[in-house]
Amino acid sequence: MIKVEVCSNCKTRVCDLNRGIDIYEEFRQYEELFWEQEIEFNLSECECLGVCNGPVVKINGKIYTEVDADKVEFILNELMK
Amino acid sequence: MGRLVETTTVGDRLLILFIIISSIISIFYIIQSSTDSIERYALVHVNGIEIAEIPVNIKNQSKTYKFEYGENVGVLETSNGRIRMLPMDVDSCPEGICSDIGWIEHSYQSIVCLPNKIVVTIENKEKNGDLDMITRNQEVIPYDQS
Repeated sequence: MIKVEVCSNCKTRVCDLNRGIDIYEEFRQYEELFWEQEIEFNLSECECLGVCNGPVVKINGKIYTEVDADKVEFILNELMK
Repeated sequence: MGRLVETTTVGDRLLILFIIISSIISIFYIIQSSTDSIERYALVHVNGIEIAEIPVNIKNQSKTYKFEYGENVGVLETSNGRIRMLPMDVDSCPEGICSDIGWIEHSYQSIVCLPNKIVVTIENKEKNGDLDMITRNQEVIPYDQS
C-alpha cells in the first residue's frame, strides 16, 4: 500500500501551496496506474507537517520536501522496487 | 533631571514639550493615513483562474460569498478584515483542511484546498494607484509650457 499525504495547511506562503496543487495533481495521475496494478494507493491532503520547505509530501510515513514533478516520479519508482 | 531643570528656562521646556507632542500626533496621523489608503481583497482562484475578488476591509460586517468550483458551491465568510472557508461538501473535500484552517487576515496567509484546486489569498491595493502618500497629499499644479 502506498499512502501519500500532501501538506495543504500552511497559513504562510513559505510552502508555496500553488505548487502543492500541481504536486497533488501529479500524484493523482499515478492513482489509476497503481490501482490497475492492484496496488492500493491512498492520496489525501494533510495538516502542516512542520517542515515548511514545500511542497511537503509524506509518503508511507517518510517526509519529502521541495517536491517537484521529477521527484514524484523518482519517489514512486523507488517505492515500486 | 535636576541638571536639566537648572540649565533650561520655562520657554525651553515648553518648546521641548511642544516638539514631543507634535511628533506623537504626526506619527498617529501618518499611520491613520496609510491605513485608510489601503483596500484589502481576498482573491479566489479555482484551477489557476481568478473567479472572485472579495473586499475584506476591517469595517466590514460579517458577510458570506458563494463561489462555484466544478459542480459544487463553496462559501467564504468575511468579518472584521478576515476571511475563512466554511465547511464544504464532504464528497468533494473529504479532509476539510481548508475550513479547519480558520480565519486568515494577513497578505502572507492563504487558504488552499488541494483536491479542488482552490486558493484564497489576501492582497492589499492602494486606493490611489501608484502614488505614495506624500505625493497624493501634494497639490497638483498643471505644467504650463509657455
